[in-house]
Amino acid sequence: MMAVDPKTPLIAAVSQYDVDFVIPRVGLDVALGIDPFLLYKSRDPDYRKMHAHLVETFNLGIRAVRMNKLSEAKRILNFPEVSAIGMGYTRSGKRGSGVGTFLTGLIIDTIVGSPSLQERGIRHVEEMQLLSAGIGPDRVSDMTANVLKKFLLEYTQRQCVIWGIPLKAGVPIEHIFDEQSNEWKDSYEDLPVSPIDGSPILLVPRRIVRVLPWINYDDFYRTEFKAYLAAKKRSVRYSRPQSEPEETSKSADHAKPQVVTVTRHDIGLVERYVKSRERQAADARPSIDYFDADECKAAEELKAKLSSLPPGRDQAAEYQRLILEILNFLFNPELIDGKPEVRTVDGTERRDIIFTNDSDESFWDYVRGAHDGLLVMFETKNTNELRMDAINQTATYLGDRIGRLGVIATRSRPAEEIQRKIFSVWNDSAPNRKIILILDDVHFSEMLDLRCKGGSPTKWMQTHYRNFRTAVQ
Amino acid sequence: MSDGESAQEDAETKKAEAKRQKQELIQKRTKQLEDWQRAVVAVETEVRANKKRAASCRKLIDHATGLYEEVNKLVKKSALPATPLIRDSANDIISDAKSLVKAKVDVHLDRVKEFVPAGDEPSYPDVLVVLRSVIDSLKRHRSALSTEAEVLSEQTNMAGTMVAGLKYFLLDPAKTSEKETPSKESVRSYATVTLSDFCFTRYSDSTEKYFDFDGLDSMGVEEHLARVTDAEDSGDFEEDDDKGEEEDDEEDA
Repeated sequence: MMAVDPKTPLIAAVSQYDVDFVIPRVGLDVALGIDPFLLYKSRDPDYRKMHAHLVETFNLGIRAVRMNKLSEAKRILNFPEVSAIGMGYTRSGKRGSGVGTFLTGLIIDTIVGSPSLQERGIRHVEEMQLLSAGIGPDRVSDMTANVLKKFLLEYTQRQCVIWGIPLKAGVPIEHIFDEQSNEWKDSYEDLPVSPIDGSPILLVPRRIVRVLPWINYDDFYRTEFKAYLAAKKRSVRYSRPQSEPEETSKSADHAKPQVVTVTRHDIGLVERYVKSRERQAADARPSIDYFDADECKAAEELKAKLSSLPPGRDQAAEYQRLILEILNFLFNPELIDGKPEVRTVDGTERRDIIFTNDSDESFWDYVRGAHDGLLVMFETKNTNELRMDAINQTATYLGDRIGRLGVIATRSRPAEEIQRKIFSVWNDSAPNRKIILILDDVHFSEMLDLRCKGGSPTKWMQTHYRNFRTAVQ
Repeated sequence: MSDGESAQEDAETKKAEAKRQKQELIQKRTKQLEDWQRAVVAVETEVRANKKRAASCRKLIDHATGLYEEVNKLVKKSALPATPLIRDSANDIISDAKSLVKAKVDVHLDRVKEFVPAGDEPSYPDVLVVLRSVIDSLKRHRSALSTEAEVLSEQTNMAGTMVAGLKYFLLDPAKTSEKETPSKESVRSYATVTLSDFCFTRYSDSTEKYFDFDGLDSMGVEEHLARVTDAEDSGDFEEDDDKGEEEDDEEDA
């Protein structure tokens, strides 16, 4: 029997570049974790709510400790490994180091040992890395995955529908947090399962994963803690408290037991560090360099699919899916959670894709501000002759709900009269101007080539946008 | 009828004809006077507009040059992108320049577009290059306005001279024969402008110049005025032998 490469994707039907989620592997965890900070800083209000829910759940446990309800605290702060997400930091295999009962006890001991933590609570679950020697990035990811399991379930089911990934009915899934009752419950859900061992698969959005959490112990040690030690040395010249580590003689890891002793007593250290990380939130970006596949090969495949797909109504659905793949390839994780929608207007189907603009890139950030573009609509028209009614319909949809920048993906450059109509949409919609950009096969090919060469499709879009704005002057 | 009666009848017919022709000529000259008086007003309006545009152009060149100099200093000191204030100032200058210089008149200015930051401000070198381009375009425009002013000045003189000649014909008590070929001196007495040489001609048997009614009758007002533009284009402006008063240059209309 041929050995399966452990790096083989668990879902073969789609390419990692073309989808919104991290594809787990057959025999090896992807060396990533869910970073709750990316939920915290997200422009998507649903993501921010999830972060608030995560923190509140943890603080429930802390409050239970403060009220000496230790069994309640143990119940709440119980975070077993979530192997279904296929992420972790083990060098081989997929069995990670889930928090489990032992480490639940460790968390409780940490809280018990830090009155200031009991008083303050936590603002980010990642702070536990700075307060407990046994908690690192993988535990943070597990804690998050446990509390957000309900979201991950719904997200997985939605993505499977979009990409035609088979769902198995009634898959047992344990330990889902119920917000109403504040209890962990088990359930049976429709989920994809591993072809290897039948275990459930939970998909995680690419937007919320990083190699290391933004708030992490190594960075804390290197920055805030070293500054603290330096200040201490200056003020206490001749004596050094026994419990404090020497500045340079130990590595960060070796010094951690002593570091957490300090932080448990001086929660202000943690507070200052967290605030400085929050100020630098714009630099907290999801990791993107874990892809195994060849980017140029993926780009060529997409180009080939596009050029071989004929225009016409019969291929409209296929064109919409291909555009979704291309847009994910080009813009994910700047534009995320692309959702295809189909509307019927006057008996004709209108196919569009709505993305959430969660980007820190300057252009998409500008779109969010200048055009209320938290959502960006891409309308797909599998035709060589874009008609006036397509422009009118798109203009009608743009507004407060969907934002004021929309894109029409079509097969070729529209006629002059259509261009003029697009200009008039801009001119006639002052002061809250609506802007419709056109992307045709040539444009997509250019961006795919650019991505292959390491260039930025977002910069390309910025230039495209500027060309429109100068043409309409 | 006797020969005497016939001759008398002929004489009376000729007299009546002469009277009729004189009346017709007076009516014709009266209409021409009205036309040329309207032309005077129209040209004066264009002169005022030209002066206004020239003043705006001068001010814009001055303002753009100032911004150029400041940005030039920043280019040498900083690799940072331009500030929104500088970008907006540059865009205002571009917009004002395009208002002054109409589309398709200057293809180089047509190619200049306002900066659209779209999340990233333009670099200082880019702002500098664009400002330079705009300033050069405005200088070309200033030169064109200056040429236009010269043409308008000559057209003013032409229109005023035509009015003067016609007024002399219609109002002066001089003999008819003198009125049909008025001298420059005669016309000057009715003129409020420098006499335009376009309105005078020289007969073969004289060195003097006389008001050219034949020329006046040969074409309409627009065609006469166009002769000035054509002469400017071919560099044929003649200096008037008799220089009248110079008009003061006004800074603003």
